[in-house]
Amino acid sequence: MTLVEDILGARTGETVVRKVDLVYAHDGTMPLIIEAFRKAFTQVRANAYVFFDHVFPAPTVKVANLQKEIRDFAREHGIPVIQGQGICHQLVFEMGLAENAKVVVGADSHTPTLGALGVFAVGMGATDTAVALGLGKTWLRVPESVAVTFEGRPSKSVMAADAMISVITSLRDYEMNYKAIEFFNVPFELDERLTLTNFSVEANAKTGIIGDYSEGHVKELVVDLPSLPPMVARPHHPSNGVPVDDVEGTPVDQVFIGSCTNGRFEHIMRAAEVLAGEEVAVRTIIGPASINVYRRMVETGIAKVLIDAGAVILPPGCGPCLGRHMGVAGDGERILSTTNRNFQGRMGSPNAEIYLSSPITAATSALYGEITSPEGGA
Amino acid sequence: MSRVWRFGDNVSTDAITPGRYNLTKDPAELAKIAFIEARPEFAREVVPGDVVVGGRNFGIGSSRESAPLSLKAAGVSGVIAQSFGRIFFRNAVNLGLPLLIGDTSPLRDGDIVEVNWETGEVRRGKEVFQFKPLDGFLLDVVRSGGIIEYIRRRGDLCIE
Repeated sequence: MTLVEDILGARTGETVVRKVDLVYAHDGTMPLIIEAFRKAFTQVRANAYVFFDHVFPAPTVKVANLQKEIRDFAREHGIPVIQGQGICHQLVFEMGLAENAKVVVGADSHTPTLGALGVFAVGMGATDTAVALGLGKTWLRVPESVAVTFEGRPSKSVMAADAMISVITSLRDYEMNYKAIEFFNVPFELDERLTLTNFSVEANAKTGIIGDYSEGHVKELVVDLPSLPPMVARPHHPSNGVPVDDVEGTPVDQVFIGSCTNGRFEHIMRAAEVLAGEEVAVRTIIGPASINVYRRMVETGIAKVLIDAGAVILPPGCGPCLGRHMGVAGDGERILSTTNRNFQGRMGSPNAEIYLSSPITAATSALYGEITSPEGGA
Repeated sequence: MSRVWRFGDNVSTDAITPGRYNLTKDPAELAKIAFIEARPEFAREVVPGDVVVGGRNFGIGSSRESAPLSLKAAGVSGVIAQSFGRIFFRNAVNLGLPLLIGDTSPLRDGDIVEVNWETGEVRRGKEVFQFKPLDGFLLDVVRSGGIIEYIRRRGDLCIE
């Protein structure tokens, strides 16, 4: 039995209806959820939360009005609204909302982040989420699972992001849609485990789950961590992974370190270790995934280290990842980012290039203004 | 008869409705931003009944339902691709936008085709291409005009 089959209590390929233990959405997806909900339902029948993380505080009147509408709807239905405290997936994890849950539906594609906790967490669109809110359940096709098994431990400059860029690149020609990734023998700590499941989405996986043991996988992938170099995903897809050495010296205009992928405390700390006592050569933006991460940055002195190095620290949230505000790319610019998507136009101009890397590689590159291997030794 | 709008592999929802433009829930506004940067003439020239054809992984990425909604609002009758990003797939079905799956390599931009969304048959002149249509519950949902209409009619998810 795969981890997924165990959680859902059904065999691969079956279509089942399951109770949803938690439904959550954010300011970006909630307006269309409300629209769909009102057409078919009057009562919320699920444990629901709304987070304002995508564009908060509101930058325009239009956005402010949409957010006002969300607050009104949430008040009407007794749904807690958590504003500006961080990225939804991170807060669901920190607040313990997914504890003891089996099935979680989130109106955001990176909901599988929570699979690091062993739950079946899937991202859905607005109408699906409205149905989950109205019925307290959802339909699911039980996905086939691909096993990713780690061997050994990574070198000190290799992080979970490097492992995932490598995994996603390995699966580039494999049909991953509608399948799950199950991770085994994971040597990373919790902050980094969430990076694995978060990034699974970019392999086109339906979800990612970390477990101890299971069988019945349609494919097995082994990742030898000791031999894995720091990786970079070239434009315009996360599956364009290459060792950092292959693109070293590529000039960048902006470095972004943060997001639901790499904005947890360990990530920012690893970046700060690189930046301590140094000065960045390009504009460098730090985006903590939550207010709790931010608070620890302040309390441990990391915030000062980053400010002294010349970085700009954003309020907790999605930041520039989706190209709406807080560091949008201009025409012809090149961004090195620790986010999970480098699709054309994702972070701003369609003529911009986005490279993806780990926080350590991003911080090292920020010091030189060009993509630089953290293993340089120069 | 429908005109084919041909796209390649890995068309993301960021390309269909970019994050900087989709801050609205108005279908008419969304219709105007479909492929606004990836293919600016699309929204101007698309006519009701046209077909969007992609390669592998059409609609990957963000869960934003503005992506299939913008296509539907622009009058697109359905999408054909080799495979779909799974959230886009569900979103399209939920909105009543039919999909076909199969090898799209013979279909070219500007082709004039006749599509039977229920049988999966695509005709171009005398040529016939067979695709896999939606079936079972998914076809029921599309026939209902989307999952909201389906639930209004049946009161529940009728699967098991």
